[in-house]
Amino acid sequence: MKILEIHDLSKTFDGKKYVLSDCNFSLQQGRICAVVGESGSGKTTLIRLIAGLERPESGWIKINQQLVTDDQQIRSPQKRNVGLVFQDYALFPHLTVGQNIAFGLKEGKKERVEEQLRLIKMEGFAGRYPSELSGGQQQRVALARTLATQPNLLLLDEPFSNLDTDLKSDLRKEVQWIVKKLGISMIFITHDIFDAIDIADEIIFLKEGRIIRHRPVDQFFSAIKEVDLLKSLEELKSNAYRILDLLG
Amino acid sequence: MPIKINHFRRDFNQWSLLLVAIGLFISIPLFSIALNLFDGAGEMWEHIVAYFLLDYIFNSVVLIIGTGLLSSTIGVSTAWIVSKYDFTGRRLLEWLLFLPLAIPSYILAYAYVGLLGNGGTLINGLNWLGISIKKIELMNLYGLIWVLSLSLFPYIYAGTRTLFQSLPTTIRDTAFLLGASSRRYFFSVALPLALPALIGGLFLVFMEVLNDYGAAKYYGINTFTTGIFRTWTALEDLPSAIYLSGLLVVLVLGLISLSRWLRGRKSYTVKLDTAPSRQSVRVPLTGYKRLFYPLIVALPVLFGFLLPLAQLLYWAMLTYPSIFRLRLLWTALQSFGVAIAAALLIVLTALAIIYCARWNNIRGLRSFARLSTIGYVIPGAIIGIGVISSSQTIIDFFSRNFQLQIGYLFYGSSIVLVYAYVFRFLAVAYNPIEANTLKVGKKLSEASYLLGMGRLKTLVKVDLPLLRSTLISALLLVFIDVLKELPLTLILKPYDLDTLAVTAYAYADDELVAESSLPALLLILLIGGLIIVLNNRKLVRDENTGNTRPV
Repeated sequence: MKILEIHDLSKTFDGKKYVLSDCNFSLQQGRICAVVGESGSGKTTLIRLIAGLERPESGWIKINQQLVTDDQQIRSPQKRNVGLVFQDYALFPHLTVGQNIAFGLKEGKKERVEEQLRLIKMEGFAGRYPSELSGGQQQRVALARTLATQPNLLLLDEPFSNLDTDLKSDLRKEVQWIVKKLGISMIFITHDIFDAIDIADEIIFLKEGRIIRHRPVDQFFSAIKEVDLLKSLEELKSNAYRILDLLG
Repeated sequence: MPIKINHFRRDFNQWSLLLVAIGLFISIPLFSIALNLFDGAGEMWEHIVAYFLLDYIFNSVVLIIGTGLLSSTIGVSTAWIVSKYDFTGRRLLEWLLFLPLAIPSYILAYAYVGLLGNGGTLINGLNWLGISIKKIELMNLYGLIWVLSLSLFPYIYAGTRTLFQSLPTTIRDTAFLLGASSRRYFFSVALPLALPALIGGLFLVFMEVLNDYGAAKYYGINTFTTGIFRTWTALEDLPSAIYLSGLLVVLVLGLISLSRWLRGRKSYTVKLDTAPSRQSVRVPLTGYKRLFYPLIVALPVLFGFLLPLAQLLYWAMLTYPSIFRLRLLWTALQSFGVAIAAALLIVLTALAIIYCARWNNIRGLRSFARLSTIGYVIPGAIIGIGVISSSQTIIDFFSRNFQLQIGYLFYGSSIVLVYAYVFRFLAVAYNPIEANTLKVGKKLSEASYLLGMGRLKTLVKVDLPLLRSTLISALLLVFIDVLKELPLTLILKPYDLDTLAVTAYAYADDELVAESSLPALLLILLIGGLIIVLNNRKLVRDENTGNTRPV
């Protein structure tokens, strides 16, 4: 079953330059999709459109086979049952970890919070404030807060970019395990091609607002004919290697 | 259907409508003035042009230039000394330099006549010391410049002080390593970097000078604001008063353009450093500077606060038995009540506009938010005239079409006055709240929406708790401004409402200047107390941006 369908989606912020242009793709239930591309390629705009935080110029979006965005209507973010983990986590600084996780819950808050804390292996942290946590811990709390509301579709904006290499590797495996365990679908943005290869089922490559390639991971690198794409992917790979070299 | 119409229908929501409605409702006085200009001038206009207009223009321009120069000199020099040098009593003086703002300029003007006028307290003191002097003539243009500068220099002091204190040591070290002397560092590096803050403060000074009514009236100086009052009340010619207001708006727009032009591209991207460890260490003073520099800092406090305060206290002691009545406490209570009601309404309106603009999805409509904050650059007298003229239009409309007499609703209650305060002081609350909502960012609200919360619930549960400190600060800032306000209150207050500012003015206007001291002192006590609270909460300054809006 298709959890997400996007058709001819375009977005401009100034009415002139398109940050997204005629995007078409769909995602099956339970799949993990990585969106890769350079800075400014439109990755974040794409997931903000899916979440209902931006309004497109044209095109439509269906979530769970229901039309949520088109020229005439926009379903508000709170009615889409979509979860989004922001790049900087957006934890409410005035609330504790427990209150953050319980924020979107209507009933059974205590049990649900405990369950989520167990899931992210942070039992005993419920009373702490976000400022008292490390980057990796904040990331996990943001994920738990989003998962607590049981979204149909999970969106993650550069979830691993603020973490060091060891933590990053552990955490992406952890995220993959949680998402697969819960059977939900996930789209995550990354500029690191290794993130995509490591945990995604399929990869979308965005360049200057257009989807250049969308394939399952095992077919993504085979028979690439587009010179531009090859060059861009090589750049993404070599940058990642360079960072790894620098880190020893 | 064309796609743009579809998008408009999709994106226009209740918040867009509310934003437009609030923006238009608040700007009614401005539209009223603009529309009335087309009705032509009144019958006294030729008389005003022939005998007064040149005086209004000349005096207002000289006041602006003179007060601008003197207040900049005082503000920048004191800010530089307290930021860069260490001396005994610096901390106290650094804080006392804000307090001249607690004395409204019209009260300072009365106090100076008591100090330096014929048989004045200071003159008597000088005579006692053997210095024979009869009086120092202050009731002229130069005296007014002196009084306004002493009252308004903290606007410049606050902004430039924050900037001087936040300049990173690396900038100073680089200048010195390149061979610059201390003098050259100040004039070639520090002062140019402080220019945006200086111009920002200067703009506030200009607006306050144009807004002043009490001091200019008492010293007998014809300015635009006193002219508007005279034309309306003595000459009973509202259309000509509106014409004068139109000219004053042109002058204000000219000053806005001037300040923008002066700033030009000077919004340097120097990263201000607020970490105490990386800020310049204050240099201890040596030689003649040990006496001279603290004196430069102490004199504005002495002349702008301590001496006038002493004069007011002296007068209060003399007039206390005849002036202190239960009525005065009732006036204080009324002042407090009106100011707190207006401050609450203004903060709520500012919040409503900021969040309606955020929740509205049509970019073009956001200019309505800015439109509603324009009142801060419009002198109170103009707003008063605009409100009166638009109220009259509404009253006439109801009387003509429905035979309903609703005049008492407008003029018999404080509704119109509070509405005018909202128009005049909305920017005072809007600017800091908006700056802080931008600082908090949209992501936390968006996270809340995605967790299933609606906009109003998100506002209550996420935004307001994070803005609490800013809201309190905005509330206090507006409260102080409303307490001090004179021209607007004089025009629009209902018959049975008296504020401390109006009572002090009324005594002085009746040549009972000593009797004005007790209400004036009560006012200063209230404002001074709040300034102390604000300074202690460190809410007066925004050290990150260098933008300071002193109380």
